[in-house]
Amino acid sequence: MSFAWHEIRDQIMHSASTLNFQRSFDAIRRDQGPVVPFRDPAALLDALHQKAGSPDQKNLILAALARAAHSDGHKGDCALTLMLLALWPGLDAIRRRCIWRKVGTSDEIAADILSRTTEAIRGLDLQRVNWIAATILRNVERDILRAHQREAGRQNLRSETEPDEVAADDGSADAAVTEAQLLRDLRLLVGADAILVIRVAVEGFSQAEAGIELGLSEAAARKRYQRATQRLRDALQKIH
Amino acid sequence: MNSIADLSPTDLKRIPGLYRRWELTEVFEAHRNYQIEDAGAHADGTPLLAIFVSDPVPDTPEAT
Repeated sequence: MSFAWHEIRDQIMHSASTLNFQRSFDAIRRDQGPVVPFRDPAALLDALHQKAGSPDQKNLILAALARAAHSDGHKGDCALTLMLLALWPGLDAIRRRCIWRKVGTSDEIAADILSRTTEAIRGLDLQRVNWIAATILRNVERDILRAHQREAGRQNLRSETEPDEVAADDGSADAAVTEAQLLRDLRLLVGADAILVIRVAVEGFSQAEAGIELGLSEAAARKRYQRATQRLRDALQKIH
Repeated sequence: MNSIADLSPTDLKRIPGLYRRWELTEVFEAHRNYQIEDAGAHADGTPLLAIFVSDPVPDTPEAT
């Protein structure tokens, strides 16, 4: 049975609207300081999703939820559900990129994203992670793509299909080398902004998402990306 | 009407929004059970309430 992506979100939202869920949320509020100002899940999710608001504060809230998600029982489940809803815009973007890359069927991608995100949240080492959302989203997408590349590599070794039927992005064994080369070459041209350019232009993250990973505000990320791409255009013009 | 004890907290769903006490009569419908929860206060100090509602319950015959 296939569940549309939006139906999955609707189901999660539905489960987050019960009195039982509110009780679990109240238990989280008692233990986790950054969550105290929010009387109910809707208020918390509203605060996390609005563009305004301090990224540091949002990160503290997510860290508190991640800590709560490590506990057993209703409280842990409640925190995990809130994390999924909080990260939903990022998970949605991952899903779109995976569909574009033909990583799998729509259902396979949805199931993979949700299971890996759940695993990432429950296994998050809060001592070593600074930016919760960016780390989880980046790792989920990276792991999905790596698994896909490994599988494609295995398929290639034993495939009896015609070469024309093989997806154009095969050559997965060289992907890691190619990425490293790209990063090195880009650094020669745009310096420290090479990772920003790769995240946005190659991997499809938004400038805001890439900025969060790199510790930049959205405005700073946008400005640095514009500057870097201008330097690339200038370099290309010299060649031609 | 069911006793609230008959209903599990999972059976009661939140109605979106926060309400003032005098608005409750406009929200309530027949044949449903409600749980009212404290939800803080408006900026002007008016208490706000969250409302959780059950699915519609069948008519129970009046006792004779």
